[in-house]
Amino acid sequence: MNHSVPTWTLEDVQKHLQYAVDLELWTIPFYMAAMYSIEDRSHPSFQLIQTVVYQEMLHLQLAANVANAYGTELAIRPPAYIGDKIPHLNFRIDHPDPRLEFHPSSAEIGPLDLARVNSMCLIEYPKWAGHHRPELRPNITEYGSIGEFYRAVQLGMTERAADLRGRRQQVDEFGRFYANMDRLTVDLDGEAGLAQALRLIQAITNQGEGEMRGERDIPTMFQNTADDAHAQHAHFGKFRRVREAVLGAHPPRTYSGVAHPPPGSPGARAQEILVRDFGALCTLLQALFYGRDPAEFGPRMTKVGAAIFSCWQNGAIPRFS
Amino acid sequence: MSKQVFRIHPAIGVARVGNSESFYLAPETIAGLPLPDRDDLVGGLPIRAGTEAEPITSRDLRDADGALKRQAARFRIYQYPAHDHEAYPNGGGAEVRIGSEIAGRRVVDIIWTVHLANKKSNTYQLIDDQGVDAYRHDQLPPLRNPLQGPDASDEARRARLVIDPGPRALRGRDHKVVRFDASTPASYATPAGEIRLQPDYFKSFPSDAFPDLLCPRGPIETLGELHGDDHGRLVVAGGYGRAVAFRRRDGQVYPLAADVNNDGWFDDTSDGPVSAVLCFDDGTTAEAAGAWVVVTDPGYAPQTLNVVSLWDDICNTWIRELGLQPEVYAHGAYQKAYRPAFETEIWPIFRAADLQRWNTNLPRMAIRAHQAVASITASDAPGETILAGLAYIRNPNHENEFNTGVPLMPLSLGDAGKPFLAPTFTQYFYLEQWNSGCFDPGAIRLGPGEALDRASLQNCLGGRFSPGIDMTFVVRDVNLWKRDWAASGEGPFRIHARKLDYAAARPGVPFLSEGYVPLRAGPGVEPGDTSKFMALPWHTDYNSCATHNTSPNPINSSTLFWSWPAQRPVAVYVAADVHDGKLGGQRYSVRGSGTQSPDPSAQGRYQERLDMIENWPGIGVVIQGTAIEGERRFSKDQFLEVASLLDEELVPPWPQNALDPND
Repeated sequence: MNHSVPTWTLEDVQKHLQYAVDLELWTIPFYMAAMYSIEDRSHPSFQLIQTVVYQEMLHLQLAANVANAYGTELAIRPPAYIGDKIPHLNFRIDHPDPRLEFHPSSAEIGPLDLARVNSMCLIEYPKWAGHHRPELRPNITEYGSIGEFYRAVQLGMTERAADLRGRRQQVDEFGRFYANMDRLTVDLDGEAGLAQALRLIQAITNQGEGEMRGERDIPTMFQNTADDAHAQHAHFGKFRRVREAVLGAHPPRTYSGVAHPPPGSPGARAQEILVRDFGALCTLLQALFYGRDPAEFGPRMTKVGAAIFSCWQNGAIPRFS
Repeated sequence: MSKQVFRIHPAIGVARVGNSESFYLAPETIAGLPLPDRDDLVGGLPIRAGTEAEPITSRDLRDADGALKRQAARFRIYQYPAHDHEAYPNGGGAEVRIGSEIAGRRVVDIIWTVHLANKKSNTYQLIDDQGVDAYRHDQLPPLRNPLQGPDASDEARRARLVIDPGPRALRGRDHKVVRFDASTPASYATPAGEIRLQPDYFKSFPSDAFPDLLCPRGPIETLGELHGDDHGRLVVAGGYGRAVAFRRRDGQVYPLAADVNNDGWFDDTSDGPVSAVLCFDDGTTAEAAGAWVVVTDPGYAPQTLNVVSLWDDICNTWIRELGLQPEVYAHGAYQKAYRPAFETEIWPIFRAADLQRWNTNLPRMAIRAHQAVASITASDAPGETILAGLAYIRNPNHENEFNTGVPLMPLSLGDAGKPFLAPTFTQYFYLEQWNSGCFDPGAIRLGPGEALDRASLQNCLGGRFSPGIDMTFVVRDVNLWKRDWAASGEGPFRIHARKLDYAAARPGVPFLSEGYVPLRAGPGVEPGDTSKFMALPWHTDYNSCATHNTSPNPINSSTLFWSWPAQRPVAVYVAADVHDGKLGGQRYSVRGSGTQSPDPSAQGRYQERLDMIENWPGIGVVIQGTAIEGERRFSKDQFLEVASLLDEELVPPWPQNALDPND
């Protein structure tokens, strides 16, 4: 392929950073629903997914911080989970096509099963070493991997460094969990701020896909220092272990549920509560990333987890919108 | 005319050491829980001495010389109609005082007998990761002070290592102070209501056997004293928080080499039975069901409720193994029809979670989540709350969850080989019932004596008996308890006290035996038999139990967690740091000279254990803002440290990590 590389506009960068926020937000309910479907909360698969969920929350914050540094007017909306559609990623164009290995897959909310864990692996699938320079394409869904997507984002960020402003609606809820990172925010302007912003994107990509297809420890700087028993492993490596468990002789036992429980049933009620709580959480996230400090954010985030768990306990597949 | 039975309450009273002659009385309300008659205060505050129920304020914590006051335990007698088979809760009971009329007889006196002793030096070591399991399969842990002899029952060893002033009797109508020292004669009440002196009783104090003791805060010459009040009640005050050490053969004082088991050391905590004889105007007498008094560490955060309290642990044993409430647990199973009372059996767990923030460096998001937990009311649908599905509660029925940290709660340390703490089985059952909507919104109706039992124990630490602060893993052993509680008329929660025949005491011969050994059926529990399983001296364990890595720690995590957050404050908000109603940063509770360390795993404690022996009275006390007197006013929603004699820098919020020793 021989595409030309367009020059990024600030709007392009902002649009891509909104995509990044969309993508990171999308993963959280998807992963959490699979995690809470595991009956045994001490199961290694539960624990592994949980560490990824926590880092996806971090990634959402980091992406939002970078987006705000570029003046993006972020919109936090409940994601959709339809078919095999993962926002802004299209694995078909990656080479080789990772779907050959991770098949079948589903982007619909569901219990931890092969289709779900394959999607989780696909989302975190590493870029090939020495891959071609990422390009900004008119249709963003053509990014073949999350790594390629973020390389494109970094390219745009670099081109538009002059537009970067530090200390703009920066959020830090996780700093003490990453004692080796000097900051999780962008505090400086222009080129100096760009180095900070790129470091945040590197944290996302290193923790997510890792290097060398997730087979090497992620850099110490990006490792969780507080509550991750597998802090050195990237998401892709963690999800491969979960996949091995799913395919193993003793896969983790999961709750089952239906997408449409009878109206008025405990399952339907649990879904209603989750939809309400997740919608409220999105509103609070929006406020958080607009520089406010909604006291309800932490409790609501916690409540969403409980509501997901409650759906499974009541025989319903969690529903977020 | 119905027959009456008499019981002393609380069944277990808790006194606490202080370095002052003065004292206040143990709280008779439950830490952190609402009071029926006060909007501005919650329960847990001790009671001003000489009053019926007046809560102390910040001014009452220290005496005029700045010494930390002791907490005395107050005991009373209640009468109940006799039943062939008692049920719990009884719900009734009326206090018996001097002057009370009971079935045509008037009470003219109450004769109390208390026997305090300290057997810590003569008992077995605490094996931290085993707890009571160290006594299973006819095994015994190694003895403390093995150089004093290999057998805990050896007479010479007992004579040297047991602190035993003997029993003391007090006539309720007398306003005398009866001391547990060497010069006050041993005495006891007979069933006929007479006080007998026992001059032959062999008293033993550390200085009797060991010359040239190291006495950092003075010698141990007493274990406390008895007082009466105008109604004939009993008040037991304990020791002064002293610890003394004897010398090795080379003449050197034994070092404080460990946190829990230190050979060569004594402290002046204690425990023992409390009995009473009622004397009537017609010359008859009646004995009351006996109680027990425990004298232990100071209460540095009396209004912070434990998520798993001593009450919860004891109730769990009584419900599961001693038939306390068959409607809750019978035939080896919890009864799904039981509807726990929200205010009594569920909400205290939620409230306790919220209160931990005042003694720990919880981050903001966790504080807010805990506040949401405490805001759950009985009218909330459980599925709509932050605890829907019990998604964040560690399930004690799933062994593996003891190894699982965040997000499972409580996020504090467990005991006996369990890295994290879980609610008791019974607490978890109550939570499950709540989660399924099977609960009643109100409170359990307790009789006034039963309420004292509960308050006394719910204000103490449970869950993490490593070894703990007030009582330890022995409360999980059915052999500790009187099992015939339902038929005997004595009611529940009574320690199986050994019948002691003081008339048989002989000069020069130690009276008390080796005593109770866990998991063994025996003649009963003697004075000194519950406190002997606690740390020796208590100071070193209190000092160390700020934060730790989990134990075991299979993933070699450096993350630090709290040991006893409700009762051993780690990080506190100092009242003087509050400005315009806003909290300042947090400070370590144990701070100042001698506490500094570059390693967070060693911060908030003295680096040299001996410093704790000397400086513990300087530690401040965390109390509700509205209990703080002075020119400034504080919020009832803030629990702040006051009266500290220590000072130092701020504490960052959790998480904190131990330094890598390889760095």
